[in-house]
Formats: sequence, structure tokens, C-alpha cells
Amino acid sequence: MRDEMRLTMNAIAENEYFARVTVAAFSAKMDPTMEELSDIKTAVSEAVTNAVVHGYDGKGGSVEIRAEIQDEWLEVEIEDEGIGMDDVGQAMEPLYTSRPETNHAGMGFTFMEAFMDELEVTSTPGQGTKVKMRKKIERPAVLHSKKRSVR
Amino acid sequence: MEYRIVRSILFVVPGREIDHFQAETIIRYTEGLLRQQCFRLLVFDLADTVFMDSAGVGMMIGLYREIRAWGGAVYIIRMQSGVRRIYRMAGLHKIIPCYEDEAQFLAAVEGGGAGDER
Repeated sequence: MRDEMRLTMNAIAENEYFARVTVAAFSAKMDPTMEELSDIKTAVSEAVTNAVVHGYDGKGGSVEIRAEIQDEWLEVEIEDEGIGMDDVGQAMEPLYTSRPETNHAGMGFTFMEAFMDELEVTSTPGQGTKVKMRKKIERPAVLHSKKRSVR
Repeated sequence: MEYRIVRSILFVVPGREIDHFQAETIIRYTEGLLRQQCFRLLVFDLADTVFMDSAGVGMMIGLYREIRAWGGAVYIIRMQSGVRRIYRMAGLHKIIPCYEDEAQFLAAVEGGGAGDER
């Protein structure tokens, strides 16, 4: 099975919900479990929030989301044209936050890594950041042993 | 988002999804209430909450820090399985104890359990 979707939206906090629900709905045809759906929603939410909060510093801009299904792999790319990062490695360290004075847990990348199978982050200061994540959605066993979602 | 105050305990009911957008609103209102009335007990009632990401974790840690300033404590009741995964993974269980329901929480706190004494 192959399919693809693209979504360009304003980088505003209200759209974080829209982004994660849209990608989850797109992935539904892969017949993911409830837990896999929740993994996808969390990872997308983290990446889009990073674009809104850090990429554009809450000032708005545009976020592009591309999702692709290739057989049992779901690939999601979330790209902004915001301020980018000097040190991607440091940003990805658990509990690191560029804004310790605010209510940020510093766990965004940790959750993306935990909930997806592959994570690749590329960033150019002044030009933006691209997060590419892949997740394998196991095909249902013949006997449908796992609990499956309806949507 | 809803609030209820029962016996000087502030209960916060965040709603179905706690993401960055919702968390900002909850933090703003809850901080205001905490500072006005210096509640010593803050309880998140997560009965209806099916989604929480790292912004929700940040929100809970932030409000925990706030209330600790005057010796208060934060609890969770009625947590669903989806949120529980995040709660464990983020290590929130080390600072924010979770109880099955309100009765169990009240029994523990009023019975001199994990509540006021710490």
C-alpha cells in the first residue's frame, strides 16, 4: 500500500490538535492499534509544538506536514522555516530546554524517539528545521490477536 | 477545563487533551488561583483526559514548583491508561502521586498519608 498526504498550516498553538488528529486519521488505514495511534499523535504533537514555540517563537509562520505510507511504514515529516537550531544534538538531550524559566519539560524529542521507530532532525540556523520520523505498523496477525481500533 | 474547590482543595479538570495550547490556558488560570488563595493541595482530575504530551508534563512540573513554594503538594486522580504511559515515562510518579479516585485520595490525605505532612 502506498499513499501520501501534505498539509500546510499556520504555526499557531490551536493547530497542534488539528495536526496530530489529521496525521492519525491518515494513518488509520494502516489499521494501527489504539496504542500506535496514540504514539503517532504524541510524536506529531511534539514536533508541531516545537515549530510553533521554538521555530517561530510564537510569532507565527507556516508548518508543512507530509505523511507517507509505504506498506507497513508510516513516514512523517514536519518542517518549518523558523529560526533553526545551532546544536541539534544538545536540543535532543533528555530534559534539555532552551527556556528553563518556562513550563517546558524538555522531553519533546525524547517522546518522539520513544514513540516512533526512527527519528532524524536536520536544522539550519536562520532557515528552519525538519523532523523526519518513521514508524512500523505491524500488519494484523491472521487471528487479529491485538485489539484494533475502528477508525 | 473546569475547577472545583472542595474542603480547601483545588481540583483541576483539564479536559480531553492536554497539549501546549491547552496547557498554557490551564497554567494561567491555575497559577492565578493558587497565588490568590494559597491552596496547599492541588489535584488534577484526569477522568476525561485521553491525551497528554510533554507540554502537559511541563505544566504539571511547573505547578508543582509553584505550590511547593509554600509547602503544598500536587496529586492526580482517575488517570486513564493513555496518560499513564506518559506519566511513568516522564518520571512524574516521583513527585505527583496518583490515586484511583477522590475517595481514595481524601482517605490518604486526611488519614495523614502522603498529603500535608510532607
